[in-house]
Amino acid sequence: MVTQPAPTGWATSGPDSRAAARFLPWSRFDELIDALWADGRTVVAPVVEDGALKIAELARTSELPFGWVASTAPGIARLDRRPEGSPAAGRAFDNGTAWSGIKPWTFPAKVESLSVESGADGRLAVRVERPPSQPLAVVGARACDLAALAIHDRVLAGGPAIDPDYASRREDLLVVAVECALATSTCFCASMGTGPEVTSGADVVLSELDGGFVARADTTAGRHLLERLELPSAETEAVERATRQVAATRASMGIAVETEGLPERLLANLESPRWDEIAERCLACANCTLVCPTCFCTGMTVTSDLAGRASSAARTWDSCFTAGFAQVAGGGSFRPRHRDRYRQWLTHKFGTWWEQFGSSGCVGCGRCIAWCPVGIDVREELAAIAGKPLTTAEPSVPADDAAFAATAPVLVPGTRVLAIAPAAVEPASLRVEYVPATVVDVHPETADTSTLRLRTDDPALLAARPGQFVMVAAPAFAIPPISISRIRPDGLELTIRAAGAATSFLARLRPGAELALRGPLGRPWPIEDAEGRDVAIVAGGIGLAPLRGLLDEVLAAPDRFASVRLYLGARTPRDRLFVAEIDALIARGLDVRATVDRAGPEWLGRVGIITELFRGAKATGANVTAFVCGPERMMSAVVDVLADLDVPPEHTWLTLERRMECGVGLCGHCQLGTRFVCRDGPVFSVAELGDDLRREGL
Amino acid sequence: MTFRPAPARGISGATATALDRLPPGVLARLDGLSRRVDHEAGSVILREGGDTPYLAAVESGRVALRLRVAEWGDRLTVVTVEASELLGWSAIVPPFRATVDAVATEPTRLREIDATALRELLGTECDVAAALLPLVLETVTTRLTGSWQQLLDTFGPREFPAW
Repeated sequence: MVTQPAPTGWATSGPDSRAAARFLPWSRFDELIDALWADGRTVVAPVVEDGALKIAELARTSELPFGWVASTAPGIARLDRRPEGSPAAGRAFDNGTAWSGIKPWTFPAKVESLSVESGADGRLAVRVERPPSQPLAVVGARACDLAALAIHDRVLAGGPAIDPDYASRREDLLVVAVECALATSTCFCASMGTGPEVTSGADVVLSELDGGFVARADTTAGRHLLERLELPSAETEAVERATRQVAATRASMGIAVETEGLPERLLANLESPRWDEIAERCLACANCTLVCPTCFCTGMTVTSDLAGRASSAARTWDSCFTAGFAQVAGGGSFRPRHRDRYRQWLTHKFGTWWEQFGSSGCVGCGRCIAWCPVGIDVREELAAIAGKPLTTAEPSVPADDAAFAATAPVLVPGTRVLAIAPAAVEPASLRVEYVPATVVDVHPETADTSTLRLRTDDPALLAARPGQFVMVAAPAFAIPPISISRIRPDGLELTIRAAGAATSFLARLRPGAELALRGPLGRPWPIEDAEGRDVAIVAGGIGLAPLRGLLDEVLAAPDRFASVRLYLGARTPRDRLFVAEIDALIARGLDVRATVDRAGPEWLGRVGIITELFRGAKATGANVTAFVCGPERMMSAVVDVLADLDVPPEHTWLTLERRMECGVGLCGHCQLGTRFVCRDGPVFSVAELGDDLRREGL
Repeated sequence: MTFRPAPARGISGATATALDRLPPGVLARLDGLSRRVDHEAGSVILREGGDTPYLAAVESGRVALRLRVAEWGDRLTVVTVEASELLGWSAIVPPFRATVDAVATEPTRLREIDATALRELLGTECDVAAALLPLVLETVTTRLTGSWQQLLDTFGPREFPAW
């Protein structure tokens, strides 16, 4: 166990004058709030609302929760009055964390994010909403809140994609933090290395003592604020009391989480029977994700006028505990069971978050424990699943944290900030603007699938690569991701199967219709990986659409490759795509092997599942690069066959289907282990995916 | 311009029949029980529910295995059998009745092994049984797993509860 020394930012003097403490007596606290208001800031702070502490807009300082104290336990959150005359009865912040944290102010539950309107002339106008910067001050934020804010900074504004609403709200945020003098029974910030000391993220840090606050500024904005108040220096004794107070809070923290090696231990137990036991208790009510200060998953809620000409899309909090969260077009869900969803939440929060964002996704605030209606204690579950007993020993931090701490910018001597993981993808590939495109031709492929030829002069879209996708906006419908099936000099082709309301609308469009596109997005097929090698393109059903652009490019310069073969599967003969094109390619000499799953007597071609196309083949695939797309079950079977034929996993490429709502890795829907399929994929090699390819419920 | 791979490049297909994977001694004993037969396109090789008179290795051509679906007034092809595959596994599995119609969809050459003689040989020659039965089981397994895939497509869940 790595023992973390108790960090403190308190000092009476020193080379860094920011750390020099001042004293703010209670009698002058209003001056602090008045100064924030004078700057035009909305001031939010903990208040008592509906029997609980909530961060809400402050109208007067008397609304602060003087004399209230929270007590929590698994499934229990109580707020009581301190007895009259008790030492802390006159304190405003000595009462535990507010259930809401500050997330609703920096990342509201619902924000308008996009409007789509079709004008009388048929032109489409798409506007990405960006709220004007609104000066905000948070008073009474806790160390865990600030750690959560740092995590959101990384996730939502640290790239490669940036949430415009979050970035705008974060632009002019001033934080007056208060160090905790009380740890409730569900607090475990000391374990997670995020508190109770406020070591980073605040402009001003307060420690509430009887009669007032020891105060220090940690930023220039904070120093300016305190200088305006002309506060006296804090007495050494007061600073020492503040230091002892927060140390006592640390010492009083109860059940600890053993964080050393936790991600590895957790991910090594993806098949633990405990997941089923939790599922017996878990209601999948999503409370834990709603009170969690770091959960950032969102969905899009589209509302439309009655004519279907104008609609707006709101970004709303979503939860990986809901059944629809991992549901894809056609109705299937990648996480149909409660155990899948709890496992997803816990392993992301404490495991895969590290690789994605360079920190744990948990700050140890304990809200998920207190607000779980059935009292599931995440500390207990981690100990049961990840194989270490519950302890009350000294808190620790992951070993990796030491490395991060060594390189992280130090705001206050002796402290650390949450590490920032390098961006996985170049920011240029993550576009948020929509551009118009006009439907110039519609070619029906099958009864439910059409290919739209779109004209656009947008340079980025025209520079799209095979395997990438675009988000397609039209009034009144959700905005689906659609794979690009062909890249033309004057536009794109999209082959769309009517699997839901939006795709049904799109597949029935007529020439002249206008759409708005965002993209190109995602990782393209690595065609260069196949240079000089034998190319095997394997497509099942609509899976041929994302491979069509690849086929175009490969056949445009066949000399780059040793050979090219195309393997095609379809449900029935009538479900085959691009039939005339494929026949023309066969006539030109392309080796095409095709099968259908079932057929009537009029069909004289091959019938059987696609893996039968490889039946009897010799294991001569070492020089093969395979590109595979189709239903995940089909791809899994094809991967097995290709492996039997010695096709290397690092040269076997798939494009995955997951629910993709934002397309840039911000909404969380398409997470697969350490990846967001939209941002890090959708194209992956089998070697990259490892066991995740077949992991049930992931 | 050609996209055709050079011979033995990439994933190369086998042209041998399924029986060519048997040891030469076993193959020689089966030779005495077998004959080559050519079937024209459209000819019915096996009838669903009828006796299976031989186990056959497809040497060339294509045979469609079809189920009768009365309410569709038609027959549904569930799988095709081609070179390197076996046809008529029911020749050695009781009750020795064909489970599908087998119809040649193009000129097809089969190497047919008489069912009665083969069953007798399998009952007496352990080395023949040990060599041939895995091939037959492989065929049955392939048809079975293929059927599972088709079942998923037919009966797979389409809707999930909202919560």
